[in-house]
Amino acid sequence: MHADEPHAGGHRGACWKKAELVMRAPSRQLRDPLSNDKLQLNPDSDSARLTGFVKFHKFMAGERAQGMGVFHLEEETFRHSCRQFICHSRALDDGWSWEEVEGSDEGYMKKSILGVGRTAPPPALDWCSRPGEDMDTRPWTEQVLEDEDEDEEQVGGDKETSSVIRYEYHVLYSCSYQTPVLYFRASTLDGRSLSLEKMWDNVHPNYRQRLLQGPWDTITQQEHPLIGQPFFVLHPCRTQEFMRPVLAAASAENRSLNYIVSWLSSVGPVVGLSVPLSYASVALQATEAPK
Amino acid sequence: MALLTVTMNLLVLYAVKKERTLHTVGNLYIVSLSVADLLVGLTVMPLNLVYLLEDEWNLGHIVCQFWLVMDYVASTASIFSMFILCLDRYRSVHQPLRYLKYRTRGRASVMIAGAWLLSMMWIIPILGWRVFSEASPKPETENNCDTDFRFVTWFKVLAAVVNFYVPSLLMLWFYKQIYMAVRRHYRRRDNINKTIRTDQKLDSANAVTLKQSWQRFCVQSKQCIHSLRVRKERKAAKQLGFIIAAFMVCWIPYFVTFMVMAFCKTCIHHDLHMFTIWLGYFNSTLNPFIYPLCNDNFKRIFKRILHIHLKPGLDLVLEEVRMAAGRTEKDSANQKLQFAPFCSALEAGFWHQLTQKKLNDYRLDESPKNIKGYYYNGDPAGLPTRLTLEFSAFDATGPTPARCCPAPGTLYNMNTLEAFKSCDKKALLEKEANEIWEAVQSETALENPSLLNTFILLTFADLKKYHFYYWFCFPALCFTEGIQVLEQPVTMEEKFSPKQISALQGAYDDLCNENETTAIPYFLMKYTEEAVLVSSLQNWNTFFQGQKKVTVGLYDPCTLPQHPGWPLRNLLVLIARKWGSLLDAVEVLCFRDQTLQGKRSIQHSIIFQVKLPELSLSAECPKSVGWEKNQKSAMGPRMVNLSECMDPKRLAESSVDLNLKLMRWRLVPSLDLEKVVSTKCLLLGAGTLGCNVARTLMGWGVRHITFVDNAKISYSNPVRQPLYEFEDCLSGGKPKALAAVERLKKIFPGVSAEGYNMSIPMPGHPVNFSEETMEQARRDVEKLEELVSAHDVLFLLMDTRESRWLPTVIAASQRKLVVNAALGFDTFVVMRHGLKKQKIVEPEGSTPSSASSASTSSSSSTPAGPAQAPGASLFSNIPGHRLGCYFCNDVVAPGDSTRDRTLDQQCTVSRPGLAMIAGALAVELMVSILQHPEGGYAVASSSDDRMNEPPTSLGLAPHQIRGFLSRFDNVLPASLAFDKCTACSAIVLDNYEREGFQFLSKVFNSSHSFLEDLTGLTLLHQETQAAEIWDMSDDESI
Repeated sequence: MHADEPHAGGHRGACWKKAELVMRAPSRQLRDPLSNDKLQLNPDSDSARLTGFVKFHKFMAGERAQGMGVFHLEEETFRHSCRQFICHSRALDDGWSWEEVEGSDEGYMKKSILGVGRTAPPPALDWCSRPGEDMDTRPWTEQVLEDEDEDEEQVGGDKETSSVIRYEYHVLYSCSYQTPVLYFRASTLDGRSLSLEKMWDNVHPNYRQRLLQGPWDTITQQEHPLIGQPFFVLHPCRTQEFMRPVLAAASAENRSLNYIVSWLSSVGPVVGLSVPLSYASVALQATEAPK
Repeated sequence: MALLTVTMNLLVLYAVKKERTLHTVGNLYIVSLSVADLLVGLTVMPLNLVYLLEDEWNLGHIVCQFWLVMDYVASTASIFSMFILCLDRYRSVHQPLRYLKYRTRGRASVMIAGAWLLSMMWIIPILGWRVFSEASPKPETENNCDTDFRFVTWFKVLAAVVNFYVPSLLMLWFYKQIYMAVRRHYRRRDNINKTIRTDQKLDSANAVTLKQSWQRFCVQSKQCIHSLRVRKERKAAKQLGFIIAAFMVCWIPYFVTFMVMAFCKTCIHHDLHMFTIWLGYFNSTLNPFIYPLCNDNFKRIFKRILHIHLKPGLDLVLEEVRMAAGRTEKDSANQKLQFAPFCSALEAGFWHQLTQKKLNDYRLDESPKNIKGYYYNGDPAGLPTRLTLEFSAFDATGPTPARCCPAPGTLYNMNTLEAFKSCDKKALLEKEANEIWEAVQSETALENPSLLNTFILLTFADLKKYHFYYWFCFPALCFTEGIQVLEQPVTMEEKFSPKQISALQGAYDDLCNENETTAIPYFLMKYTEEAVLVSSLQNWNTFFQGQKKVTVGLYDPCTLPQHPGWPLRNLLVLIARKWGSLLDAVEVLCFRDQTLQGKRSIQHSIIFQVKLPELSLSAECPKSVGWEKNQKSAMGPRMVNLSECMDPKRLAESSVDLNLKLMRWRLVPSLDLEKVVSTKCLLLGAGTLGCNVARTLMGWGVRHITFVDNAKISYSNPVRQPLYEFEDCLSGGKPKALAAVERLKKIFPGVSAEGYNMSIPMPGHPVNFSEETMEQARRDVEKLEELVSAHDVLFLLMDTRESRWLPTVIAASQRKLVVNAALGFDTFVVMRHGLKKQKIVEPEGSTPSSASSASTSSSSSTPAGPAQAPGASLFSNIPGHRLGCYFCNDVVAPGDSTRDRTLDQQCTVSRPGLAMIAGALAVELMVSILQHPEGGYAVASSSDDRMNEPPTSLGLAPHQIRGFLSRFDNVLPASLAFDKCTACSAIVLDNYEREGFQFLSKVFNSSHSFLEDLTGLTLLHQETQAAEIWDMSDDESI
């Protein structure tokens, strides 16, 4: 057996527990429109899966003598890659951080950025034009603080704030697909989420074309499994498929790469997330100082 | 005068060009007018002046021609411009809405161009008079300059009429109309005001509810806007009146003399003539004065322009003095330091967390809660100075994100909107300000500087609507007279050497490391050419040791190049309070630390010097400000509607929509999902098939589903009928149609479903037992007709053959698409009925082969009806309107099929999976048909078409799908409509349309033979019988 196995097996055990939870709570279950046969292993038998994995691993090992031929991502590797990623991010100060979920050992990688863009509807509080609204601003304007309006030390109003958009990107690990999953959303500064189309209005047109092709046709709206808020998700069912050539090429050339870097740099730009080139060096540094 | 004309008109043009607010369509006309007046002032007046002074023309023929052309063209253009301006105003007042659409920049330009072209026409007679009328004499003298047609009476009269009299008369009329319209507005406003006043009395008498007061407010504000508009209009009319008066006074004399001179050359004295000409020119001088006088916008902008360019020679000295005074006042205001206020930035997660807290922890507790926000100093330019609250904000002791400064806050979450509104904001602010003041005085602020950056958040969460009302306050203590800037802000790059900058960066990082943090809100700083020292705020005394001029650093969230962010305000108060008396000046470094593409930069930080005012020595808390303005820059709360991302129903809807959109994106652009989603489906039968069809329709996002069924749910149903549960069977069972609707709404609240618990009258099931049963049947038929007409697609999902007859007839008559599904034990048929052409066109006569196919089927007729040999696929390319219906392939009329049957024959006993397969196929067939450009008229695809190019984006559009579960096989037959069909043949439809219920009741009440006789089936039977006998005898003979 492979040296990794006890560790990996133990880890997978933890994953299955999670998978059961997922089954009991259907709202949190990842739906699977395009099931990839290779991934649909029988959940009833851990051991079958394990042997399947080992066989696959051996097959890959046989194929590429010294290569690291496993194309899926262990959770431990995921965390390790994230750590490297965040480490480099700190150096760049580009905002990635690791968020622990309170009361569990789970966590996710997170980044939020702000941009000035086009938000469609004007600010929500438009009192007079909305007859259904039973609120009236006058008592405030009368009552409030005559000092405020004559505060001459205040710089005049920020007209731009309403068009500032906050993009949030969360990278989670999917046990069932053994890949990273990208959760994302965009909202205005008052916390209102934008629709997918609105969000894409602000994505570069070159990338917008890509949205019509795989894997972008697998975006769904889901609850974030760890914080329970609605997010858009790039469904992981196709991740393996488009990552395989990258990983295969890397292992063929016997060069290590950071899964997160390669994956994020291919999916990020389409949702307005750029991954600076310098991240490519993360993998190189990692090879120099592994274990 | 010429000079004045030129300057004033230039000023008008300059103002319009410079000021965006003046870029309106109306001002285009003013521009045109000004250009004309400018030409008059620039060329005509000086030349005329020269002519007048020298008394003879010494400038040569060409200049003379030029002058004349300019004179006539510019003056006319001026008049015409005024005319179209008047026309524009008339139309804006008279038919405001209609004209608004018409009043585009392009149209205005065309009008103006037209006016100018018309004026240009003058060139022709002036330059070309001699060419056209050689007969006219040539009294040309060398030193005279006048037009060649000055002696031609008819031309002069014509010119004067076209040029002046017609426009001026029209203008007068327009002006009168405008005046009348404005007066009408004015009167109406008066009336409305009166009614409002009475309203108010009524309100004060009663207890004024919130709603009433709101409505009143709305009405009043509308009034206010309205009256503003009226006032504007009145002003416009007044302005026009001025212009007209000036215009008349200036031009009438000239044109009168012009006319007189046309008839009598010597009647008018030369000087008088000259005077009238100059009076005309004077109009051009006057025009630019009239606009600024009447238009506030122009006035304001004129003042500003004059203020910038001190234009001498204008008698605006008084104005100038006032301007200058204003300017110095403003400049001195600029010397005061201004701060960029915080702008609240809330993550969506904050509201989710607040909702959780409110539901689980706070409940009705309104007491203040500690929360936490943070601010960041690495934003790229252009972003607002933000204080961010995340979902982690409720963990006041939790970690702050890296490189951010924490800001402790207090949350006041109110239980009611009333409490939110009536909450004393001033008191809240004062309380918080006092705490800051306390921290300043007690020196706790030195140890914990984040106490200077506290905030208040007042909220009300309407968790029914998911509306969140909130108002932030970032309390700031104020110096009464502001803070004087000694040295204007410059970037650090300008002031510091690269060496100093990198030294500062290093020193700051060291200080961070020392404090085991990644951001420090305030720090002290000393620098020389060589080195930079920084230290924590609490080390002030030891660090500065009585320096008169000190430098403090501030972690600055602002990105403006001229202003510091809000956190500086309370720091300066702190410094003034502690060390103000010892200091001459304070240098402030607004530390901004940005990393762009891996390169860190603090060069864009700004530095300036201020002089701190004396803070009164009393221990009293200074005045404070800080409530945030709302999105409209007004003092007021904000509201965010999060129903889209928090209301589970809305979430379900948007998720379903998104999934469908993704399907479309994948099949772009051919899949017309809208067509599917908006289709209204009527499901007759809510049993096994009905349940499965409904679920598949929901999967396609169909929102409008109606059930008709008369059965109740029995114990055997739930296992096969996925919309029902065991509970639904208890105490007699719920009506299926209603229970199905209930369940659909539970599955997806966005669905608009209805259920009708009613039976469908059937042929061979008499309804004439009593008046009452007849009446009931009539009502049922009417209801069914109504339902069919209100839907787009009919699904026939009943378990008997005869119950499908009436809906088939009604749908065929109303030209609705029918999808029919029927089950045998292990066979099924899913088919669309042929859709008759819109105009009643009889199906073409049955071909011999259709008759033969019908006859083959007669031998294999089963209780479930449909098991027909797939021989009909012999036909290909049958268009939709010639396709058959469910009954076309039968040679017996529907009758009571449950009579004389054993129980297992009466119920549909079928393999359990069959209903799911057939139900799903029925919906998919409908969707494919809808995707076909011809819809129900689509040519039927057959099994043979499987290799061909599919007719729709989803594939084939078959007529029937017949499935054989035993073989796990489907075939796609297609068959023609049968002219003797008992349901869709012309004669049946004709009878139904003509006699209505009377005909139907005959069908219900009689036996099979009525329909068979009617359609000629009986005859066909007889013929067939005869043929069979004939054939048989033949065979026998062999």
